[in-house]
Amino acid sequence: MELKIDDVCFSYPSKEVLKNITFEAHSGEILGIIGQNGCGKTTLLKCLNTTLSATDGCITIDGQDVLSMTKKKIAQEMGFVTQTTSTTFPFTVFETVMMGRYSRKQTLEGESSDDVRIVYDALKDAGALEFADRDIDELSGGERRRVMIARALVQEPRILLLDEPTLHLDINHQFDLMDLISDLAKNKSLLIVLVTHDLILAARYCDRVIAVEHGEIVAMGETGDTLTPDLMRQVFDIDAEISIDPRVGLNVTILGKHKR
Amino acid sequence: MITTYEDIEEFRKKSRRKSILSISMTLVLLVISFMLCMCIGNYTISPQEVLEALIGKGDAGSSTIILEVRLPRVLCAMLVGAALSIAGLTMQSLFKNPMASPSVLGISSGASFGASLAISFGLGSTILGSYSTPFMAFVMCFITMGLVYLIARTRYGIATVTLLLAGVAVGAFFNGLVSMMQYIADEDTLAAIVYWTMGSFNKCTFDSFWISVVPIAIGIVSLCLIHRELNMISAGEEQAANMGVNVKTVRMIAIVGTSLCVAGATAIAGTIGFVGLIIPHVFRMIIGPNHKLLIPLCVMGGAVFLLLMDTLAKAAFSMSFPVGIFTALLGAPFFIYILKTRKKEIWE
Repeated sequence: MELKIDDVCFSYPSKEVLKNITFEAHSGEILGIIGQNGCGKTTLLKCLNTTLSATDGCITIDGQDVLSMTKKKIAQEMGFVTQTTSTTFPFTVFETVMMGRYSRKQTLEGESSDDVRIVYDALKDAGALEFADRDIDELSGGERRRVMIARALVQEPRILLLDEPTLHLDINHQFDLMDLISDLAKNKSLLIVLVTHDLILAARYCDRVIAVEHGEIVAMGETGDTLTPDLMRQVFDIDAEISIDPRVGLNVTILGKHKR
Repeated sequence: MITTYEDIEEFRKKSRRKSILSISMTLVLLVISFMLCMCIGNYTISPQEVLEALIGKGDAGSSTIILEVRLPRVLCAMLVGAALSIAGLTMQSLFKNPMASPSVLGISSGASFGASLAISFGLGSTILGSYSTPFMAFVMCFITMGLVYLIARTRYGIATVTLLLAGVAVGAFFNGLVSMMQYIADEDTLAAIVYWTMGSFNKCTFDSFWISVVPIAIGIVSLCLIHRELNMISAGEEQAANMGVNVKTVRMIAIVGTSLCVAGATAIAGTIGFVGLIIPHVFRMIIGPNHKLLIPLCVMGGAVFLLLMDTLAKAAFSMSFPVGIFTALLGAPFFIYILKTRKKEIWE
């Protein structure tokens, strides 16, 4: 499966947010999008699944333009886990995950035993099975994030879009979640596109990274080749050392704010 | 704790048993309330006499009271209760706010203005006669809905919060117009407007029932058809869209369905408050927020509530009070209770 983004631009009336974004991504890889706050990372994810309509350019999945797809078809292709996991009404975890089956159902079709099996598998894969009978508002931030990933998985997508998946999680749960995401890419051949601020996790888990600055791609490629001290300085205004640690692989050591 | 597939199946069975139990109990309550409302009034009639009259074997006196006076009133109460309750549920889910009710879109205020126009100036009475008041209430419901929609619409679409604020503003405007008409009206007209705005089934006939049953039925059926989408939208519009819901279309169906229900209810019974607030809350507390179950329960529960309130309004004092007074007396403390206990959800 190939996701192709060709010269995509997005503007609000008073601000140009994305400028000429072009890249390709394939099944089984984890693509990290990094950049400072407000650089357009989340906007890019929203353009990918048409929550926002790109003002110019084209996004295709295996050659088919996403704008020509129905909402349900897009949901079958892409699962999106947003930053927000808050809910107003306390659905159970099982009900919440079952909602993800919507795009696979006909208008009046009820839930089948196949749906229940798919929900069960997704809860298990996401490590959320043990709290399936609890109300979602009783869960911690990390547990909710797992539930949202399970809900995206039951859409049976080929692409998983994750917006700051480790936000507000403690370091232990950050690694748990990133291990889960890594497994999903490898075992289920999902294309994972994740937006993150965390350069250490990006270095360790992403196969490729795209660095975005002021709505433009400033660097793109294999993580080891792309994450360089110069890029850190240019994009984040920080001094950092990039090294290969035999125990953990690619490692980013942040030294502090760039001293001019 | 769930650890196996069998645990999931057991959890589903438990939920299903709870659903069947709650629907059965509400149905029993509905039958009891129906009988209670049919039996109690100026003259108390035994349940046996009511049943005999309903199957056409009663004596002439009680059959006249039951079939021509009480039955249309009871049917109207059930219809209005069901309509207002499901409308409230939909508004709360759409606006993701447990304090939302059918009045938030200003539709009830628009209906009040329409009815006031008919009462004050006899608008439409030359053609429609006594139907002019419900007809004008209907017309104004839809004009209000269109107005709110036009105000809230921007070139980027309609944000739910803008819709809510537009509804509040338009509602306030029509309330102002109703007050102005009350101020300039003569004594009889003023009394008629005030009585209408209190909400009552005292003047309900079979004609009233037939006026409203079609729009309310269309409203209820259309809202039933989007129960799955309402679940997802109540969890967040963006999340719903990410799962494949066409939020714009569902929102439009929800608004039109709600308007049909509110218009139908208001046209025959005036403005009856708090039904749409109380009933969805009670059932959400008992059974959870899943609309697949909440919708039928609210439809039946709303009917039960207004049947009981109307029985109280008929029987508590020597004269028959407007039912809207009792729903307000019960609804206002309940509103305060929600305000005090569910601050988080209200403001999120």
